[in-house]
Amino acid sequence: MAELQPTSGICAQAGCDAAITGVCIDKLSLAECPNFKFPEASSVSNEAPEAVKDAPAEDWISVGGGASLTSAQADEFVRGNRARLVALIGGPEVGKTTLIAMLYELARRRTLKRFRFLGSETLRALEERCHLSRTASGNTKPDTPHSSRRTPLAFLHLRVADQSSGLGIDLLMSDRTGENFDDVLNEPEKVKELPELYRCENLVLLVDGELLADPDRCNDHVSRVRRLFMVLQQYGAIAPDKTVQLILTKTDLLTASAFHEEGSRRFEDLGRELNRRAGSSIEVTMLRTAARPSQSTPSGFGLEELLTMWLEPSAEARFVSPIPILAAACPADPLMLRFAEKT
Amino acid sequence: MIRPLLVGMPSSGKSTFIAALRYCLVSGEVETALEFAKVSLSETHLNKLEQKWIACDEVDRTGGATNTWVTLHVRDKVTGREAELLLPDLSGEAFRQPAATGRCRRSLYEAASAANGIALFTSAERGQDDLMITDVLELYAELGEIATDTANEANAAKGAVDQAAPAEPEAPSPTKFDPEGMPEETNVVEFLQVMNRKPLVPRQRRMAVIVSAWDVAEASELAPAAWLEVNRPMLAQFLSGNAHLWEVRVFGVSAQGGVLPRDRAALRAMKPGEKAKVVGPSALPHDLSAPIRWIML
Repeated sequence: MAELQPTSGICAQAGCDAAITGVCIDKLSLAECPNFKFPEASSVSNEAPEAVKDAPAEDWISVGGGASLTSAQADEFVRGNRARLVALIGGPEVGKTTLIAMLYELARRRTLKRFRFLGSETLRALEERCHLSRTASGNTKPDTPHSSRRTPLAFLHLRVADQSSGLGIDLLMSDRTGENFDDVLNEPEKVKELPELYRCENLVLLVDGELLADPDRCNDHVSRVRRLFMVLQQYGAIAPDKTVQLILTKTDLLTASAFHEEGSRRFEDLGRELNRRAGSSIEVTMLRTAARPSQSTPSGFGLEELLTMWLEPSAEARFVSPIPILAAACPADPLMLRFAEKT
Repeated sequence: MIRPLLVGMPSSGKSTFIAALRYCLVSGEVETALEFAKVSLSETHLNKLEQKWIACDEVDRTGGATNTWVTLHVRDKVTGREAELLLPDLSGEAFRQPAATGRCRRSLYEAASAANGIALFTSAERGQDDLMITDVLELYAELGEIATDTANEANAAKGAVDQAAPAEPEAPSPTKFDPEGMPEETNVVEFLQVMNRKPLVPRQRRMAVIVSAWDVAEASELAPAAWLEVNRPMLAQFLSGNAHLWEVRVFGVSAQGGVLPRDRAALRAMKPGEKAKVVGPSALPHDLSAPIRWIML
């Protein structure tokens, strides 16, 4: 267990893991960064007695947990646990972070019918993403923290139990800034720099219902989603052992718009087209969702169904025997035959 | 020696409980499953707490007593088994740190890892601290007190907005996320996760969940366990889903016996030991030691 280092503390900047890495997302030193607080400043209340104010740094132990996981940490987590990795894909403001935040809210409030909340290793990171949607923020309308190009890839963890089986399942969801996917559209080879797309079991391509609701922006958005899919396919991110979902976010905004019918048709057409492009070995499943409640949709509309898709047993990978069966007789044949029979 | 740990966020009722418990065990005014075993090395803070409790004054967060440990030695009257109750932090601020910062005071961490069982406090007086904006908007819509966005846009399109009317005040900027302001349930769940997180080896422990200020919850007519399911859904799910780590019983406790200052006069007229109320499995009506005894079994 790592002991607290004198420079450790906590950063209030969304997406910054300086407390763990020591590297400020704004490339400032920890001392000059206005968002970074050292432990003595963050934990002492105004009424703290002298005993606390004088508490030396070595009185504290790092207990882990809370912050979002980096790629390396996510890798380690997957190795140590049977976790499902979900890669959320979409441009800026499409609703990736809101979707993650809302899933957490639904789980913690016992709003999911089939699943029960069991815990999370990234509670603080999840709470941060929920903050602007709660009354405690002082907001009058729900919102979600917006990432920037500098925001590093983060993984959020949720552990849930299927109520029918009682089995616990770990879910890791990627939260990557939408600008990275814009970059991929401009320079497709950059998709190879997005490891979660290749490591995941679930590829989730998000379509923005708000943009489909706007006749001036609908066509461009559909084109971008289509091209993103093509890049994923060309560079091998879409494979038979993955599930692929095409998810419409902000369905409530589309439903409420005058362009509703046309926008819906575009979404359906896009889904059919991507299924054709994917071929017979891959099915692109379509789903409409809406994180926020409205007159047409309840809170978290479609999200439990999405979660169910993610947690279904994934397609079995074809097993290829790593050892070739020898044609000529040799003393090892009986052993090889037994191995071949078992596989 | 069993060392049950008393944990809970600020104002969750830990101080009131331990003050009332000590009085009941020492005075013998009511029947209890446990008895007072011996005095601790320092009785200063417990004496102050008990004094306030007897006087029916608010036993609130003890200013200046942050990071002060309180211990209480008890004995099971039937089995003779002894336990040392540990209350690591009178104010409860230390329990925020694991969730807020990913750090924990070494003394608390070591006590938590060694604890055979815990008494987790949550107050029925605490209002909902994780309310979503959309919950409030729905309420307002039902009451018809605010216009929907559609209605506003329709009015604006019709030019029905009164140009002479004063402009609506600009909405204030939202507050920045403060990890130390996270909801109680999040802090509690994270603290419990820490107790079984590497390098510690996960093991099952008994937990008595004590819903303090229970007289506030009585109107719901729910048993303590059902109250927890409804009012602490995140914690309740976490505990039931991790039954291999936490064997749980839920108790409703009113250590004060009433609402202060409203009931002060009536409570002062009673024997102090008889004002405390307990609801829960195998608990006598005034036996504050029942949750602790269950942990010790």
